[in-house]
Parts: sequence; structure tokens; C-alpha cells
Amino acid sequence: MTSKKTPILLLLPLIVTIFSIIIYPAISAIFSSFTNQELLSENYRIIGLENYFRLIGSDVFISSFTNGVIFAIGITFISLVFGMGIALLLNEPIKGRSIASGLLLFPYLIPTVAAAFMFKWIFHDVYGIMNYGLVSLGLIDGPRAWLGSPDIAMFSSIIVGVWRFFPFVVISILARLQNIPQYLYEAAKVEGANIWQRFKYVTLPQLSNVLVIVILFRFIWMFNNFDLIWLLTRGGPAFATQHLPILTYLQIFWRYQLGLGSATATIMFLTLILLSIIYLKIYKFKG
Amino acid sequence: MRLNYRTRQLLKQLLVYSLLAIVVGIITFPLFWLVLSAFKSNEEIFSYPPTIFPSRLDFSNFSELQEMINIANYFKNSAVVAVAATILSVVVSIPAAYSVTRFRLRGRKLLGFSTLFLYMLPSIMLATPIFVMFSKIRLANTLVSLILAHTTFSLPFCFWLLWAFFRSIPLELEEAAIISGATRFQAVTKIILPLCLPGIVAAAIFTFIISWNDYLWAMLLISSEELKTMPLALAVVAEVEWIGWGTIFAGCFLISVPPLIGFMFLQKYLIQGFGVGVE
Repeated sequence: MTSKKTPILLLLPLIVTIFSIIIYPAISAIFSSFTNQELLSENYRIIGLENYFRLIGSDVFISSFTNGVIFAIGITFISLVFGMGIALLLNEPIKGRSIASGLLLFPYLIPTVAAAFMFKWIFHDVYGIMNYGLVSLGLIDGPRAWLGSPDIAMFSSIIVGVWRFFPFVVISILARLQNIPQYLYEAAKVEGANIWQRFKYVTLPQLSNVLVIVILFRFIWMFNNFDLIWLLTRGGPAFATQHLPILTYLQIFWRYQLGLGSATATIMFLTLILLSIIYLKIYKFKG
Repeated sequence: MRLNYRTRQLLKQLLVYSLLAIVVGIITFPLFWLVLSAFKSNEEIFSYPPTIFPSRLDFSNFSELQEMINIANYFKNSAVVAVAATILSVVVSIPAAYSVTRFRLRGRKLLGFSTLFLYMLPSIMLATPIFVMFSKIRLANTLVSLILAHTTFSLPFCFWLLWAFFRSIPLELEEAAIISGATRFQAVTKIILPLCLPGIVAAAIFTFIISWNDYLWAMLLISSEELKTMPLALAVVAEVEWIGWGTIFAGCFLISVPPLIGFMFLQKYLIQGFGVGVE
């Protein structure tokens, strides 16, 4: 018979690893946020909430925070709509479906580095195919600096983000779509429901669990994501795309302000917790 | 005019086909553009109006890249780290996922929520403490430190996927085996594990790909030239002023090959394993 200790023993490697590699560093970072510690220095003073007050009052922080939220919401929303549409298309039994779904997953698989350089070239103001294509089609009157102009840079970054990460939405929704029992649709058809009504009253409710998770995960990942914007624009031009992960990085590794940077990161974490709690409460309330 | 059923179905198929073709075209275009550009000479890349297909297959970008950086070495580093991180995550997650789904433990739900909770921790927040920690035990700037750092994102994900997958396998199967005289260990290895294989494979592939593509941790933890992983090496070499765009594309192309190949071989497992994971 299995000993009573087995369940815990089986869990032990996971718990030990998580504690040492995630929980301990996290606590350490939170502790640093209450100090004025510099990177690579052993002396520090505990200064309480001073870092936090400094951040909340700083313009750079506020604009980085806003950019981060815009980035995350923009990507989540657009990839959700887009991904849902594609999942619905892929759910139809047509030939070549698996080839299409395979191809559509590619953006998710290639390294962010490759995606960043690819789009930097496509968005190039002189030689980029984006400008060439849009101007030739008459859709815009002249070339734009997609990544070079502070007004459009965030928009372009969101486009790249959607391209890069929408397959996650597609896979998740598609997997659930394929498990929706056909008889629900039959019943709806019998009652005279048209396509939109079937979508609204059968598909959406069945998808609601998946959608909640997808939206949550996408937002968390995009809010915390460092690589994409860093490799695409380095947070420029003129801080137009700088968000909290980049701010944290610059504070800690370029200005050596370990305490301040840890506070920024902790605020990121707390923001996500708060938003998730609110979000899940709203979802439970509706469901 | 009321079309009959056959015609409506045909039109619907046509519509779906065309929409899908357009979407696939738009989405794959950037990749397509990248691959084509990698094989164009640097002069041709800058031609205006731009050409779509290279006038002839030009490998100069690849040879120039090879001259600038030691591609094979960086590839090796990336592979070592990705494989090791994957094995580590999977090996740790399987018993844990099994334990949580098979035994009546208190705080099971808590575990589920805490993995989500942990996932909200930004990598950048964990980065400095981890770096300091590794420096203290003399592991900084090693591949081992990178492998362990990767577990910060691969482990919760892997565990979550496998947990959901294990959950979908009914307990009765093991009970039946045990009643017929097998030990728990035999029941697990001979019946449960084979059933879980798609999920395990899917989790492994995802972990490998995410690990292969990592840039942040490599940038923070690795400072010596020989230990760089490919994404880091490529990003660094692209900063060099006189590097040609074509050379960069050659690098991007090479970097993307392993994840894409890995995926192509195991596409079936991916949807199956992942699909269950999001229930």
C-alpha cells in the first residue's frame, strides 16, 4: 500500500524548486523595495514607503504604467476578437484545415528576437514593405514612421504583439469549440435561431470559461512582457512605448537603483493581483 | 431567391475557404518576407521598389553571419539550456501533478490558485534576487543558472498543463488495475503514463520552445561570449553598426528553424494536450 508520505514526497521537488527559485526571490525583491539599496552594494537603509511615493509622483512612472496598460489591453482585446474569428473559421470542417492551423501557429513559435527584427524591417520608414504596400494601394498618402514616430509607435507595437501572441487565443478557443456538443446547435436550430443567435446563446456561454482564462492570461503576460517592446523600440521613441518592465530594468541595471526598481516591479505585481481579483469577482457575479 | 441546402453549404465552404486563405496569407506574410529576404543579397534588399522573390538564391548573408559570430556554439548553448530546462520542468511536474490529482490533499484548490498567483510575478522582479543568489553560490554566468532561471516560467506552466491533463484521466483506471493485482507503481507506469503521453509531449514541446526563445534571462545572466544563447547573440550582433539587414535576417531564419521543426513534427500532440489544459 502506498505510504501516507507518498503524496507529499511526490510534491516535494516542485515545492522546493518553486520556493527557492520563485518565492524566495520574490520576497527578497519586495523587501528591497523598502530600502534604498543600490545594485551590487551591501549597504542599505530601510526607508519604508519612500520608493513608492516617489514612483507614484513621477511622470515617467505614470506614463510607463499607462503605456503598459494600453499595450496589454490593446493586445488582449484585438487578439481576442481576431482569435475568436479565426477559431470559428478553423472549426468548420473544410479541407486543409490542419495546414491552416499549423501555419497560423507560427508566429507563436519563433523567437521574439526574430519577430522584432522582422517587423522592424517591415515597418522601416524608407524600405519597409508596409509603407510601400499601403502607399501603392492608395490607403495612405505617404510613408509613415511606424516605429519612429511617438504617436504611432505604440500602435505598431500592439500590432506586433497581436501577431506574435494571437495563436494562443486561437488554440484555446478552438480546443473548446471542438468539444461543444452538436445537439445544442441542433436544438437551437429547431427553435429557429439564426447564425448570430446560435453564436450568442450557444457558443458564447459554452466558451465563457475559456474566454475568462484566456483574457486573464493574455493580460498578465502582456503586462509583464519585457522582450517584445525592448527588442522592437527599446521603449522609444522618446519613451512613447516605455512600459513598466522596461522602466524596472532601466532603474535597476542602468541606474543601479535596486530599491526603486524593486518597488516598480512590486507595483506591477500588486496591480495584476488587484485586477485579477476584481476581474474574477465580476465573472463570478455574472455567472 | 431561396437557395437550396447544397448550394448554401457550398457557398459557406467557399466563404470560409477564402477568409481563411486571406487570413493565413496576412499572418504568414511577415515570415515569408523574412525568409525571402534572408536569401537576397544586401543590395537587393534595399532595392526600391522592393522585389518579392530574390533574383537568385544568395547565401552571402549566411556566410557573413558565420564570419561574425560562431553560430554553432550559440545554437549548442540554446539547445542545452532548452532541453535541460524542459526535462527539469517535466520531471518535477509529473509526480506533482499526479499527486495533486490522485490523493486527497488539503489545500488542493489553493495550489491551483497559487500557481496562477506565481505566474503574475514579473520576470524582471525575480531577476535581480536570482542573479545575486547565483552569484553568491558561484553559479552566475553559467548555463546552469540559466536553466534554473528558466524554470521560473516553465515550471508553473508545465505543472498547470499536466495537472489539467492528469485530471481528465479517470481514477477508476488505476483502481481497476490495482484490484486486478497490480501495484500502484505498475498501474501508473503501465496504464496512466502511456495515456498521458500526448499531454506530456505537448507540455515538453511548449516548454522547449519558450525556453529556446528566451531573451531576458540570457541577457541578464550571461555575460561571457562563449555561453551566450542564440537569441541573445543575435540581438547583440545586430547592434553592430555596419551589420547588414540581410545578415540579421539570416540569423532570424536560423533561430526560428528549431522551434518550427519541433512543432511541425508534433502538431497533433499540441492541440490535443493543450486543449485539455484549458478546461
